[in-house]
Amino acid sequence: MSTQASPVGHVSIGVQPEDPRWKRVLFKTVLHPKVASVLVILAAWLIAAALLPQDVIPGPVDVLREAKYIAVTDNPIQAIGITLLRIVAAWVVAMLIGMPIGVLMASGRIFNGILRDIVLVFMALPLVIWALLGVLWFGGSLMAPIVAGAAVSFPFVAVNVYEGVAAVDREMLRMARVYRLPKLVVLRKIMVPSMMPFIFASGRQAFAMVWKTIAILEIFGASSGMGWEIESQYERASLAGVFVWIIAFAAVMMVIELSVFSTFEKHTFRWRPKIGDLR
Amino acid sequence: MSEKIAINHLSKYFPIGKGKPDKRVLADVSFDVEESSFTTIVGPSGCGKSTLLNILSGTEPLSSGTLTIAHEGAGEARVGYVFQSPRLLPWMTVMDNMMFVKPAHADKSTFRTTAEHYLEVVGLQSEHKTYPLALSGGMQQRAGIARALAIDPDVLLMDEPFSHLDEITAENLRLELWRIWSETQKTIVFVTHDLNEGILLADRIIVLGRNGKLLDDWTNDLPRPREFTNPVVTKVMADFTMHFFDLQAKADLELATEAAA
Repeated sequence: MSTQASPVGHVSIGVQPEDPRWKRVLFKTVLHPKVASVLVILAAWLIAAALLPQDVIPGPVDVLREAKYIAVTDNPIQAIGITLLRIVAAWVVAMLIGMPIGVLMASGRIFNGILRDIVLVFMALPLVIWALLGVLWFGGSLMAPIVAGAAVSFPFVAVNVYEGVAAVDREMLRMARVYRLPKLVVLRKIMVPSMMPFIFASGRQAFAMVWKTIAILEIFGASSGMGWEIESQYERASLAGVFVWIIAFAAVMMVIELSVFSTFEKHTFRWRPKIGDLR
Repeated sequence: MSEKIAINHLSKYFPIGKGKPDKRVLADVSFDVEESSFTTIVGPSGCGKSTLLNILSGTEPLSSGTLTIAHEGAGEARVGYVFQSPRLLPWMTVMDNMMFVKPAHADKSTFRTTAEHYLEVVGLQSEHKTYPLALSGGMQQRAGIARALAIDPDVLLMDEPFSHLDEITAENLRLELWRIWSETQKTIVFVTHDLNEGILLADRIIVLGRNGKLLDDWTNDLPRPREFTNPVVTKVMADFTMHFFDLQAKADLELATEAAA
């Protein structure tokens, strides 16, 4: 009997050949999503700086020179530290107020009726008004950014947490009733973990809102912090200086996202299967 | 054998709105369940079979009648429940899901040993630290069964536990359930809409109708193990299916006559 190679003998369906080494290295370095996004922004900046006059978009070399000058003459670490302290304080207060309000809103029609309108009013007010009121009420004290930042962001926390309570799987709660589990256990082991994605979303959103509010507040109502530094550069008419602080703002934000939120998120949601783990 | 569950003239009504008469779900249902027996409750959807299971589990109050579950010691009877979907908490490992249902009075290390034993019984001894979403549907349901057994229940209630699984997995789990039942001698009440599943598993089949009434109480004395391939079993399945549809037609007619009156 003669043997003849089947025309499909060498086709292995469903098995993809591994990428070559250079491709894997590329995807782990410059094409890594986090690196690539920075490179795209940098490229856009270079193009814009080349095409537009220097008093509109300063080039990276000017900004670097200015950054070196600021690092020597000012105390940028202190400015970043002060702003971060204000942001963290306001964020913690926003979460502490917003979360119980969200739970109360979900706990019954009466609370929902009363609190929903209050939350909506707070949501509708522009953040600049709260920045203004904070400064008018508390001047240069730490209370000004705390009140302004918390007032702007707590409604978003409340609404997200409210949605989180509504999304708790009722079937899991019935399972807990069948097994006669105490209410505290149900709260800790079912309610809170179910709400974690919503708490995370609200935490991130609140952080961004607080960040913006405090930047504005520092620009016109403080004598320290990153916002105030931007305002100082504006007074000096130094566009490169303003750019230095804008980049510092973005960098600090990214560091917090990657080091705090992402790490905590990875740990909290470690139960989610990774692609390839599914059976 | 002694009586484990006694249901006497049990009725259940659900309010459906102001000015409207309550909807009758179970009407004057009475039957007993013997200890260590395997009983299935079959009926079309909306006949109240899941409601009956909820009443048995103590999560739904009954409207009238009495229900007793014999048990040792003070307090309530312990009820294990296997749901249609496994209802494992996805953020807990398999072992943590088992420990989650530990009764407040139970000793932690003793309960852990029991949990380990039942995970072994269902073949999940190597999955203690696995998160449920990394398990197949059949494995998740096995974990659900192990969890229900771990509390050493007086009765084990099962609400269509294999209906979400493919037929091959379901058939394997049915055989395993039969083995577990033979070993543990638990009293099982198993709800299903699948008549053949009822015949394969149970000693006794309670038929409920859409009118909420108990239509038949049939003793199944087919020898075990029962298999689809056995012509005696398939003959019983065919005959019982004909009988079931006859009963349901009469119940539907009664319901229609009542509604017209």
